[in-house]
Amino acid sequence: MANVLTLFIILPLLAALFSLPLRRGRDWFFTATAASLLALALYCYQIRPINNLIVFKFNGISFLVLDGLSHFFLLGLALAALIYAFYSFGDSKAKPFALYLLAALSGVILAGEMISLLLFSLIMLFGVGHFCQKEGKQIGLGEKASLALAGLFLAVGLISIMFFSGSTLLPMAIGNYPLVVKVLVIAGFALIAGVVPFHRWLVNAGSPLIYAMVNSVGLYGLLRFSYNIFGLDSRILLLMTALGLLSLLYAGLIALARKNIAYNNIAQTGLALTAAGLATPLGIMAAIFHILNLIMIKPLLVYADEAADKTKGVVVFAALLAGWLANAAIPPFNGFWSTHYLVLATVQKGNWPIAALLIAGALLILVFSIKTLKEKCFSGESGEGAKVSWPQGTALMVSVLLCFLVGIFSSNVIMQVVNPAVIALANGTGYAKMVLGGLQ
Amino acid sequence: MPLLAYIIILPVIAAALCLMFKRAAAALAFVMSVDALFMAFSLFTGGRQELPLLSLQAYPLNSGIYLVAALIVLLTVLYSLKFIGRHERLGEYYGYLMLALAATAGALFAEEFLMFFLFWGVMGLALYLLIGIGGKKAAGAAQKTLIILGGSDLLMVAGAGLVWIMTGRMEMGGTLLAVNNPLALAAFLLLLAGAFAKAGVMPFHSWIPAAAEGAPTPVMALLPAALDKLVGVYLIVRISLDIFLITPGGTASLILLAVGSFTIIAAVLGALLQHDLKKLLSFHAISQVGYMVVGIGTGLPVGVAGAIFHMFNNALYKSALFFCSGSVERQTGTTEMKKLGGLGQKMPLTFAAALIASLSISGVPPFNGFVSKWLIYQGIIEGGQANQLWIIWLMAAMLGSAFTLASFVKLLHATFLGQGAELTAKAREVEWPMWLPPIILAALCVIFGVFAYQLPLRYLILPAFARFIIPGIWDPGLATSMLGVGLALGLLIYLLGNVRSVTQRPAFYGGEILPEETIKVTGDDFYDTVKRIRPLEQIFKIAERKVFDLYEVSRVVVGGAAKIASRIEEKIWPMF
Repeated sequence: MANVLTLFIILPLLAALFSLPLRRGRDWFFTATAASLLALALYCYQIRPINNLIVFKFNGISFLVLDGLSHFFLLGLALAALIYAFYSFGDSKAKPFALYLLAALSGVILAGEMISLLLFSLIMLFGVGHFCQKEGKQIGLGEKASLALAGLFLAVGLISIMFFSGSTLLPMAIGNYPLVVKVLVIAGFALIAGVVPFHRWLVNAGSPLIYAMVNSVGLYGLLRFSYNIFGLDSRILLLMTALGLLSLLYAGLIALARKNIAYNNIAQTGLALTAAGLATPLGIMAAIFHILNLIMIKPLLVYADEAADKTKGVVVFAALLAGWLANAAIPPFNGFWSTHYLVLATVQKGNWPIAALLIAGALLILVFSIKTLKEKCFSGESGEGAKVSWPQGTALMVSVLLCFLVGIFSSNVIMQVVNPAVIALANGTGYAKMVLGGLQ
Repeated sequence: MPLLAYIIILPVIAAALCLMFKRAAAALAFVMSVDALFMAFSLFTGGRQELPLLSLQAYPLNSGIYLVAALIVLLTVLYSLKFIGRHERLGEYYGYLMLALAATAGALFAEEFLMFFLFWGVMGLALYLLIGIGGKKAAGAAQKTLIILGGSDLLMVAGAGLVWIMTGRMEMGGTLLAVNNPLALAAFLLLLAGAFAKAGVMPFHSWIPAAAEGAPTPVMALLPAALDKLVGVYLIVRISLDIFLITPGGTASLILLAVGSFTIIAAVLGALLQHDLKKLLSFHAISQVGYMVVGIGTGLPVGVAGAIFHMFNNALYKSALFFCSGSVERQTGTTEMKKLGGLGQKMPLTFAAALIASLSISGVPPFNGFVSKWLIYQGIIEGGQANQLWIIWLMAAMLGSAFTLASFVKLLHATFLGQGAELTAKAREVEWPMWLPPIILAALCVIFGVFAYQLPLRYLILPAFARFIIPGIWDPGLATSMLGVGLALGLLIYLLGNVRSVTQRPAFYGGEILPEETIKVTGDDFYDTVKRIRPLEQIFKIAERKVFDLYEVSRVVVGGAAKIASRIEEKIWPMF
């Protein structure tokens, strides 16, 4: 049963290898792989006992681990990949690299021991640069240096943890380390998540796949280590809150000044990170739910924006409207609920300055969203006469429907998808016992 | 399925169908509105009902409000049949109207904060989309509206969070919190911010005049004039009666009285100086809500009852006035008062409705506006025992009423009386779907005034309160009879006397006979001198710089901060 976990890595890797020499058919390869991964992620909900985990052991060590948190992120990853598959249908240059990236990202999420985690992370960082170049993004020295720095932080941090704990197993790494080690790991994942002050690479390299998948994996690392490995160290939680608020306010302001979606996405990540730093059940739930919503919203904003520049029609209008309203936290879309839970979580915590700053940041995002919506939807200017192609239209409509349906059925989504991840995080260092078989 | 579920689901389905079938949208919306009115009536007469799945509950007050809301939606749809006609975004227009209807019902019946925020937010969204129907010229107003409403909603969520901390409940009611500590005060103010923004209370008001410039007139008649006021003021009532304990003379009471009084006076002064029909009405939409806030702020049953009654009355006369202005706009192509005049003879039904609605809003007896203002005045006076500032609130309310009358004298004269203008020369009465809605509303203004105690107070308002005695003497029946006698006597004198024998002579200026068209008095600039009165002159100058507009002030502050952040990102960040 646990062998199924290897498929999350092997499938995209094989697909990448097979599709690389192909000139035609890359799109189909990618779409089929993404769909298979989504089906696999959903299948795992059937086989994984609730609030428990599946461990794939290799040579007696827990090589891959699927718990509530990693399951949540795998589902998000597969969903984002499938939507990307449809939207970018016909543009197959970057597809093999996207598959390669998908394998590495799945590896980071599933990794149960630190050497594989480090390797998958380095492969992922290497893949990000190549993927962005193939996507036509301007990847300069600064961006490459940022990605390399993330790799360096993680390498030094994880090797130090292995040194101090005397084990390569992630569950064995639970313990108290020097602050600098913890900060290095947090900084590494913060760079991948693209939060301020580690955000510059994302502004130029940002693409829907990076926003939805790579940044999410960065957040995964931040959550996994701060909650399950470092055991809710108050200094690390404070650092996360500070990084979250800085990202939220700073990037929120720049988004307004420069009318740039990348900064909006950084601010949104900051919103989730701020709540994650609260370490309350409601805060964790709000953060996880917001991350899920961002996986849907961020790519939709970019896709709709691109589509609006070239085409027009009801689908593009609906995509712009739903995307920006969800981003602005206007009901009935999904962003409304998660943003409101974020506000409630900070108020519940009783830390008024944080609550006030979070609300101010959410207001900045709202203002940016509504202003952009006005320019895109109500300015009277529209793209050329052409209509959006069917795969792109499908991707946009699926995203719109997801934003709408998750908003309408938010309580069900929270119960079924979000809560297992919340429980995994709230379990704190109990994660180790579960992985090591104590609760299995 | 309970009736409450149908009341929300059916308009949502109708909205979807309108969006899909543009050609059938008007018919669909009309049928749905008629159905909504029937459902509202059944709900109103059916007593208390619940839908626990969605945390909805209907009781006399909110089902009464929904009844009035459904009536105004129906009249708006009827009016739109001709006003909107074959607009290219017809499907969207009716679809969003139906969405607004469903959201209004949800917001009125919600018993739990999160569910309330959902419907409340969808109402704001529907308003945004409906203003956006006005096209490019309305885009800025739509943006401003959603930013103000969406932003204040976030504040409201924080307020609900504080209530949750203090009571451990997310239900809107059941516990009465005294506003006697900073946390309770913060929760009270945060919740009020959302309600104020929707209702258009200062300083969250500026979206209403902005919307009046670009939004289709029926949209103004429906949302800012009626639904937003009904739901916004209903929320203020719930905050003040079900969530917090407002004691006369207490902090919360003083805040409401001060904000309400300021809103009455500041907005009515703004209205006096307007030269556009719709903008003038939009300022009155703000000013009138001040009365409701003052009434609630008294913290006394008579004041609160007056506020709720005024809320109903405002929906009736304000919608009627917006409908009338829409009719004038359609027939003349303008709402600028200096280009209008003499429409009373050409559009008699519209004029009659506008006259009654104007007298009602100005608080002239025996119309409905007088009775509700009377109750509010009584609330202020009765509350005077608890607070010596009562004279200020009373003066503000009474002065506001006088200014309202003054500004409607200007409106009526400039639009319907006086000499005709080029644009009004060929004007004629609008078709029946456009004159009938304001006439129905005007008739209700009369009925709600003359039979105030027998009908609206008895069935719509008093069931929401424990029995209370209305102090003072006001018998609408007797007053109406006396007014009728007075008017009859005046008519008799007019008919028997020689008042009709009027001599007309040409006007001379510098020995020349002035042509008639050069001596036209529009009345449009009646009150421009107000701008030159000493203390007001400076205030108006400051207001012109939008210092009192919270939105504009915030825009400048945030814009400045954004520029600084952008500069840091550009110049300083790369160094690291």
